[in-house]
Amino acid sequence: MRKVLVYLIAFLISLWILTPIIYTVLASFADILDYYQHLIPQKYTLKYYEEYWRLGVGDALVRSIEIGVLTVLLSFLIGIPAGYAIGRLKFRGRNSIQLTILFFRVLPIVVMAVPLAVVFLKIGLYDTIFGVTLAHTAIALPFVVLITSSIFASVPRDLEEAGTVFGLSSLQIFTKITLPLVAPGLAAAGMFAFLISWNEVVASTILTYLNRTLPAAVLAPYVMGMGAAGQLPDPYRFAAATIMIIPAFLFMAYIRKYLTAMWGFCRGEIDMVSVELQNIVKKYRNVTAVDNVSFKVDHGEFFVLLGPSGCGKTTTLRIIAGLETPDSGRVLFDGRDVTNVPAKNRNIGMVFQSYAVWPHMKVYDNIALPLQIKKLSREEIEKRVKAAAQMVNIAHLLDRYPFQLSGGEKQRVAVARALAFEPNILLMDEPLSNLDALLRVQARAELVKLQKELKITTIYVTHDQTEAMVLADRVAVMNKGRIMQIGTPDEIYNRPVNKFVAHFIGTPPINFFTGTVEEGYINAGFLVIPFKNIPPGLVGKKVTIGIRPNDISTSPIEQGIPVKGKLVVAENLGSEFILHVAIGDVVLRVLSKNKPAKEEVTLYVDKTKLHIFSEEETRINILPA
Amino acid sequence: MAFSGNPPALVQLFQDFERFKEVIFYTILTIVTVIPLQLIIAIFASIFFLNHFRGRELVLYFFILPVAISEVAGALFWYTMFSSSGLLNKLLIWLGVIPNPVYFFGYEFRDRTLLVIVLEEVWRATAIVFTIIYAGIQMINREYFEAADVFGFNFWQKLRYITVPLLKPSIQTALIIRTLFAFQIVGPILILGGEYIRVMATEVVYWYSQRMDPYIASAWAVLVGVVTFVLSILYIRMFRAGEGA
Repeated sequence: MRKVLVYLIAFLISLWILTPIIYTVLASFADILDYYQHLIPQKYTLKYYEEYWRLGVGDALVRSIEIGVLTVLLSFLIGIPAGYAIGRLKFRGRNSIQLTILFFRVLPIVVMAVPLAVVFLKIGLYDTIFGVTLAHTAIALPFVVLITSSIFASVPRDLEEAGTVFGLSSLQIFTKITLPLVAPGLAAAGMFAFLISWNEVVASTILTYLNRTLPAAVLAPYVMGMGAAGQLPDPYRFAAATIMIIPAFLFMAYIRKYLTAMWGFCRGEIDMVSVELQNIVKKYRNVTAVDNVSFKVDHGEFFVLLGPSGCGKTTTLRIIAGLETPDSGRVLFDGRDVTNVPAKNRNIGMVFQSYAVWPHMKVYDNIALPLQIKKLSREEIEKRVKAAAQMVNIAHLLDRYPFQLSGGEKQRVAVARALAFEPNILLMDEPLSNLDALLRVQARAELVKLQKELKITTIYVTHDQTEAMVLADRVAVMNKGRIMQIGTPDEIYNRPVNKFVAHFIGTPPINFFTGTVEEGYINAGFLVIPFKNIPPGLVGKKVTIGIRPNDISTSPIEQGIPVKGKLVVAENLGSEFILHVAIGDVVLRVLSKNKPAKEEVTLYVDKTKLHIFSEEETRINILPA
Repeated sequence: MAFSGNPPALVQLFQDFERFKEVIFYTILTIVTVIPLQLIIAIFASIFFLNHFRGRELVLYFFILPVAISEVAGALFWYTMFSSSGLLNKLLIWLGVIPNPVYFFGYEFRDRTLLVIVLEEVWRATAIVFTIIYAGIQMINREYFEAADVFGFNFWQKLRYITVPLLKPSIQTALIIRTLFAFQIVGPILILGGEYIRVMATEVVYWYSQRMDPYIASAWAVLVGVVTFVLSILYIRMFRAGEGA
């Protein structure tokens, strides 16, 4: 429905802009009597162009082109050095020069034209190509200077400095490095100057009499004549309009890629109480952001979506929030299908990664405005704002503007806003990722406490596995749009279902090495581990063996298999060490309380803590003998 | 020059007071109808183009195409639309809605001409306002809007409390540029309005080119200059005051 509306509007916009152009261009080639009789003309001819050309429009056209080119040259001659100076060099009075340039832009050409004409008459420039060029340069120059100065300012200085290092002179740097870099931008500025000159009509009309530019020639009958004489015959109108828009099309075609780059898109993110996702799929063009995701979050549960960036966790959250519509699948709140219910009707609270604390209103209003929209009484609003502010300890900040707050305070405001709204479901999109490490630990602890007190269903997106382990009742690990595993932090840590999950969870990361399955044991070269229940089909296959750094010990343990190795590096974490121990080609990370005295170390690998993964990287459940 | 002559040219302006009144009337009328319309359309278009859809870039390109089209050409296009043998009349007759053409041009139809001028200016120059406002809306963190969505704002509440306040700087810039340019529209008014609709800028051209009187032309030019200058100062003042609030 919404899609249809969008396309309808897009179609109407195109129609609105294009109809006058297309119909006029069509009419310019039509036989005029035929044009009067038919909605869509049947007979076409070029004769009006030929006639109009002979009447002097051809000369005007050539004159317009000449003036346009001259204007570009002249405004470049002055504008490029000026733009370079303003963009690159720092000197006193730079700002006032910029202001002066802008001021000239403000001074209308209508005001300048008559005095110019009088002066030009005296010095013999009136009705000449050069006179009009001067006027057009005056109009185009401010734009050229502003455009070129911003282009020059955008060239990274180190590219030029690299030139200095390699012994180029200043002039060589300018011609060999800077100029080629800015060439496309300058081309755009030049085309813009040409277009200004080509389209300009007021100065051209006033400064010429016989040697009209094209727009001035077209406008001349209207200016000079009265009544019917002050009208251009229809076919000539069409032809004139058609000729005049050609440069506009060329110019726009050229700068289109700049516009697209300038207007590039940034994407944002969101989510909500018992929440169930059924087979959710969401695609962006060719990329499947969310690939058949299903899970259920219970009342009051703290559910964490964990995964690396780009894994689809934020998109999943936004689908729960109603900010995105899935391509297929259903979203259920308390069993009710809300897939097509807009975000505003889902009664969710959300804390955004950037907090999205509206910068133009005070903290109080930030929290109160959603409640006003809900049409609550003033007393109720005040009560809720105060209570929420109390909960997150920002009661003393209610009168401040967001710019007066620190990151941690803004984060609290965002949480308070979500809580005051009394949502059924609280969605959080990496709410702690913009805080520094110490603050994050503190805020994390507060969030856990708050959520347990309020018992509000919470869905929380993060890429930080520690956050997930600390906060979550249950975690869903995502990768490439798919759910890899759902479980309690313990399950995820101790029984990862595949290599990805094993690797993603736990710091320092798990050790992997390869082995071959044989009858009754797995042979990893330096390590041979007997297993009880090896399925016969597995014999002869290669497997990956994983062991966490804290499941390897430097002193004998009950289930430990001894392995001899060489200590390569010991990273000091303060309370413990990460030992890097080389055993042949394999380097194992080992978490240890103390640093071994000798280079030769014996490690004890806890055989009950081994994780075996198949060639397809999924977990194989077998028990050591 | 505006002060020379006997009586001075600036004084001569007021001697044909009927004409003077008419010029001022049409100048103000075109500006106060065109600019708010452009601003509103530009804001809605900016919001619309935040949508992702197939062909969005192309439609965007169409929408801003008129930026590069000259005012003379723009006026000729819209003449083609509304003239007695133009597309609108032929279409309506073909559809059987009307038996005879509706006239939009000429002395008796000045009000209708004004409508065409307004449409032409909205068609041609909204793109400039849009370019500025769209650039502005792109700079706003998308999460501000999404936060409003989540908290149950409807479209209008979002527009009023979030979008417009955050867009204020862009709107100010667009208003200044557009207003100053609006005083310089000559082509469309001469081509569509002929000698029946006069504004300050066309008076400059008329007195200089047709009546060969650079003095009165200068007087009008000075008036345009003064009004433009005063308006820019007023705008800047207004915005400064706005920032303090």
